[in-house]
Amino acid sequence: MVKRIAVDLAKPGQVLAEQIARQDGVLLASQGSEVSDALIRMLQRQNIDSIAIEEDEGRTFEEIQAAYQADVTRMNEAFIRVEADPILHALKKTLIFMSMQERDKALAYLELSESPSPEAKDSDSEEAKEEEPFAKEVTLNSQKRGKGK
Amino acid sequence: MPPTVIQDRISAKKEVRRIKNLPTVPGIVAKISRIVENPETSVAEVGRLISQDQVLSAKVLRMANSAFFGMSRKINTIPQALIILGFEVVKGLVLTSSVFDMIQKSMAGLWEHSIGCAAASGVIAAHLGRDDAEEVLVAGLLHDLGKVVLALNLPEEMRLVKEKVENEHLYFYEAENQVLDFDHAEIGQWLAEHWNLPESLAEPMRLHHKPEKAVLKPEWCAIVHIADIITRAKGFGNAGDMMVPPLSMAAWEILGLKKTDFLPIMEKLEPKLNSLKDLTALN
Ligand SMILES: [Fe+2]
Ligand SMILES: [Fe+2]
Repeated sequence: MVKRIAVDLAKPGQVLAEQIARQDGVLLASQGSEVSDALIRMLQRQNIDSIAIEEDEGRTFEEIQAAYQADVTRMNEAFIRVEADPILHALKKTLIFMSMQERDKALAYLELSESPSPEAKDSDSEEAKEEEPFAKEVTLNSQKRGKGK
Repeated sequence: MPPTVIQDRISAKKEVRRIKNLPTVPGIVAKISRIVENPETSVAEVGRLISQDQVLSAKVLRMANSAFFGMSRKINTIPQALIILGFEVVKGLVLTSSVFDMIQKSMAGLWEHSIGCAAASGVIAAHLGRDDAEEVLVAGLLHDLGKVVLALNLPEEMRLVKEKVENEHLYFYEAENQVLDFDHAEIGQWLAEHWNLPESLAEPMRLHHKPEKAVLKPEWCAIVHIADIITRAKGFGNAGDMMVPPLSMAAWEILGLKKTDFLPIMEKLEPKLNSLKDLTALN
């Protein structure tokens, strides 16, 4: 997730989500590089006022889960009148997997739902998975947290 | 359809005759249109004309440098914007900047919905490898302008529409049709004609909920239709109701999209939406 913040609020260790260029096009810092005290001072000198950073740094497990839960609740309401449409259902599932930060699962799901085999169209098993994404969700995220800390 | 036919059809309906204040085309946009009719007009002249209005130019440059276009180099001047983005795109940005206050005042969340839909239109067009992605983006930016006209002219009816949306779980356009017997898409077309917008921008304003009826630029209408769906699916902004509208299969098929396209499209769109939050106050 990318977030734009004022340079004055930047902290060392944050990761740049976009490159930073001067008005005349000269590159000051490339995408993916880490913010340092020296970089912040240099950007202030160059009158750059905001930068884009990867937001996930520092988000706690509880915050990620709360955001996910809010996303699912909102999406259930948003899709209420189009649940029967398989394409829009695929959009919803993609967004839910992205909210869980499970890119590979989104891809696997989409590829399966695109394939013509009858198994892929078995919406019952898909629905069943959707009923309780949380049990799975909690373990996935706790694994991630375990690795991270 | 010639303008007179549409106006006759619209004025036959019960409430539309009360729409007296069709917003006037912003003076600067009228002037630009006039000077470019002359084939001798140069980019520098158009640039000078827009640059005369400093507040407006600043807004246009902010949009030109936003995540919309993802430029690697900063665009510093209006003439630069004209060269890099093209005349029609800059004109679209000028138009949007000049009606920005009106959009913001008319409906909370509509500006965010518009820039979200613009970004999504651009991302879908680029994903499809189209070379007119910037222009489709402008179509997305303008698609719901009819709502502004309705909010400004028929506040009483719009209150009723909002009530219906809330109590009966209707889409905004369904509630509009129940209350008024027409909707923002028709008014959008009317406004586009009044403003002399090119038909390629008027068509998505009229047909973004019925893209299968498009004849001039069916792909543009299809892209804006799907961009509208995606913006609502993301919950970005508020277009009057928060629900995802039905997908037109004709739109889906004409673009040759597959479900697997959703992932790369959403991955490109998400960071853009996050940085576009910057544009929510253009002043
Ligand atoms: Fe609409
Ligand atoms: Fe819309």
